Amino acid sequence: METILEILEDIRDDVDYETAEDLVDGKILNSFEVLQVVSELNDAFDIVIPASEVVAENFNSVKAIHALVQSLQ
Amino acid sequence: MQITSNSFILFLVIGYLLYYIVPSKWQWIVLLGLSYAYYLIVSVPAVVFLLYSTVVTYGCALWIGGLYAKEGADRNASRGKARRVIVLGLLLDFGMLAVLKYSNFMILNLNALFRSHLSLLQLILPLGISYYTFSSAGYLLDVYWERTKPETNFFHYALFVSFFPQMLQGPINRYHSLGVQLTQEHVFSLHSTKQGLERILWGVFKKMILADWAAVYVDVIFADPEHYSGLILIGQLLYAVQLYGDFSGGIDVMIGVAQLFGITLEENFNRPYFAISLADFWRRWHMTLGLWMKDYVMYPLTLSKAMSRLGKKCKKALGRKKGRLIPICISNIIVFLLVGIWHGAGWGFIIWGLYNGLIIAFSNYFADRFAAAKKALHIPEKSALWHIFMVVRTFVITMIGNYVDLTDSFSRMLRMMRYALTRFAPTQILEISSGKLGTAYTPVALGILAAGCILLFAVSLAQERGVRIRDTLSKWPLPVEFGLCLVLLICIPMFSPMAMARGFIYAQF
Amino acid sequence: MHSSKQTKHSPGARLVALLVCAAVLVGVIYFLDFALYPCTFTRNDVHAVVSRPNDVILLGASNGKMGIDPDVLLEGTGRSGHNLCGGGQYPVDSLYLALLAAEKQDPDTIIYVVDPGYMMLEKEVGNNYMVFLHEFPLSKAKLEYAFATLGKGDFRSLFFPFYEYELSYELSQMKHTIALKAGRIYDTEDLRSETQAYHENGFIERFPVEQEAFPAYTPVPFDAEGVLPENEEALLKLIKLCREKEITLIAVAAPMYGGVLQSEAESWNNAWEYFGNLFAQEEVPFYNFNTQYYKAFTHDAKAFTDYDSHLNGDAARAFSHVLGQILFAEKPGEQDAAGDRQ
Repeated sequence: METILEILEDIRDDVDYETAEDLVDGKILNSFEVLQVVSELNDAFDIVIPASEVVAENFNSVKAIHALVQSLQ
Repeated sequence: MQITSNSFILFLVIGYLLYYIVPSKWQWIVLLGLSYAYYLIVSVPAVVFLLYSTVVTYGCALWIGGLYAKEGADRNASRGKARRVIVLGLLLDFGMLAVLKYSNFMILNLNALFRSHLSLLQLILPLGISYYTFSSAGYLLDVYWERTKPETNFFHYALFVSFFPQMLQGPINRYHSLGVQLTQEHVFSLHSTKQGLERILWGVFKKMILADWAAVYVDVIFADPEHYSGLILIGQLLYAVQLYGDFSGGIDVMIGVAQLFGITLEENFNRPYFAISLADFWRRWHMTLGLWMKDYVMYPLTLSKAMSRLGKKCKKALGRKKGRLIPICISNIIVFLLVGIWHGAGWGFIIWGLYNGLIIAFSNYFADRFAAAKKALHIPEKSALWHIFMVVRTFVITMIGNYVDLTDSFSRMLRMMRYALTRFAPTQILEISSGKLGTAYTPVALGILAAGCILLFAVSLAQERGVRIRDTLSKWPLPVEFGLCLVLLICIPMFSPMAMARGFIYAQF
Repeated sequence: MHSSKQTKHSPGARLVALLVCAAVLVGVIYFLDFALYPCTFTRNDVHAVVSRPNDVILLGASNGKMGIDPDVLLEGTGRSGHNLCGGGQYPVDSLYLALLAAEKQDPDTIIYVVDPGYMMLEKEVGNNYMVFLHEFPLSKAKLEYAFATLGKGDFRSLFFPFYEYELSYELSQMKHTIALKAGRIYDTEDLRSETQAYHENGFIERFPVEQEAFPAYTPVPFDAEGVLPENEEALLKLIKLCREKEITLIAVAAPMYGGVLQSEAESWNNAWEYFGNLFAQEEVPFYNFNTQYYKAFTHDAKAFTDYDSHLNGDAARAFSHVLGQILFAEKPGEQDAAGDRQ
């Protein structure tokens, strides 16, 4: 969970990820930023997130991202 | 069939009555009948291409669904087959669009390159092919990525592909949002009819007052840019108004029409001229095309194996922060190349695509440098002045991009840019006649156009602040709401240009 | 505010609100048309044709309107006639004007004055597109005419036909327009201007103009391939209509200024050949004053007011007399030089 927060902070530091529930749907993260998150997650957890999984539900909150990462480990 | 023409009004009235008379479980059949009737009225041969796209994507989707269903033990084998099916489906679907829209462009270039004399093909560009090809391909990819279950009822799917409001100029719809709605039963609601009519009225106002008046001057100025060299800048502003009024007006009409049938189409515009960056502009202008490109081109491309490998190499070479941006920037440029090509078969559009792609990639790649420079200049984060600067800067960038539509010779484009900056003779516009009374009527026409733009600006500003115009209207007492709509309705015949409303620019796509 | 909210949603109230809004809308549309759409020649023409029996109806474009005075044409025959030609009258307009005349009265003869230019031009929406349809009284002809022509127009032609005229002109005429329409006044004096005078029988008398003052002229070269199918179809339907209703149809090509006939001889010959073949095939007698009957009337500039060959008043009356002699004067047994009349 910590590493995910670090990755997010590294890409966009002006967002309160603790409470955010609509990072993608609320247009807080744009496509460039979402793709950077995916690239960092792939490296950090040595997983491969396929394009079909890069959907709003999986990236709207830190918890959702965490669940996605675990499902691919 | 022009969407402001009486035959379309008659078509709509008949369709509307039928739709709410038949038992609601047959409503979708009425829509399907209307869609194909609309298509047949406009051009009979084009129905063949519509059916072709429908059958190809429907078939491949079922095939893939079948492969996934009997996956059983051997998951990879069926995945491999599914991959081949999706490639086949996309090639067939986009292949037809490429042949019809770009073969002559290819031939011209081959002739130029090899001095050959291949003759051009007599091809018709069927109505809406650029839109339904994309929405059907999107559905196929959604099935391939298991985001949607394949539709088993061929006629349900045929309705999704051929739903007539999206025929003329989009929006490019998604199966999971539109497909489902189309087959649901819709109870007659006076409220949604009223709001639909209001949206249509607003679209017609944008088209017939803003776009058509601006077009009167834009056509004259850019037909002879040398003579009207003092008006190039004004001409560009007017073209920006014309393009927005024409395109978003047409979309408003179609979204309003769909709302009459209780169907909500995707929005295609979010006040693009308030964008603070070119990337933001493309999230507000022709949104459904941008979203389609993001979901079906940019993401898969960036996350593809090749790009990931490239990304890893770049991270080693340029460091993590910069390295990870390279693949994203490259696929972004490719995306905008495709957007340019989608707009038309011509070098101008290709350059325009690259122009947009490069600027967005560039500004994202050096985002940290820009941020640092901003801090260094002590520009406060939330300063209104900076916000206005960003809006104006983005608007100028898009205006420069519009040159592609205004001239096809590169040298003249450069000359026009120079005129725009060096020569400024606004009074010359009074030479241009704009109706039966010739030039005498021009000041009045420009006044009408200005008033229209102010009204549009006020409404857009309110919308930008989250005000839902039509919901607010319906909270006001009925006489006020009806009165305002009536005044707007009457202004259109009174103040619109004499000639018949011009065809919709985006209808030739 | 709260209470109106409550009643607003009961179905009864909403139905009433809907009906009131619809009524206001229809009322506003009607009033705008009544107040803003100016009174035109055609308003007088259609009123005359509908309300008075006429034996002979003239159809065609502006050269017919200014070229033939029905009273002179029918002098001594004891028959009545009306010049229903009009500027901007395309074959489809002539067709439905004939249908209206036949529906409301029963003319026995229709004289169609040909204008080659109109066969090649498309009836342009927004440019006098509604000038005839607007004046039709509620009738079967009006419905058919609307269905035939309004599909192409947009909602402005259908609901706000006044949009075809300059708003400033309409507003300046508004009081006058309302007075005429309210009082059902068809006074021809109102339609007089410095250059021409409108007569009760639909004939517009053009005052003489010196050749030096002729306006600039841009010829519309004629070729048979350029004829638009919609125009030819409408003309053929007009011929068929006359046959069905047993109305004698006579085609006439009014005399044209000699200079223009020479300078574009090839184009005009194409035109006369085209019309000649068409009318011969349909067995419609065609009296062409630029070929067969060239000598029957002058082609000198003095007779015309412009290079488009609009005759001036006196020349028109003279021509009407000549035409009358050829078409209607009872010369028992004498074969006319141009072959039998019927």
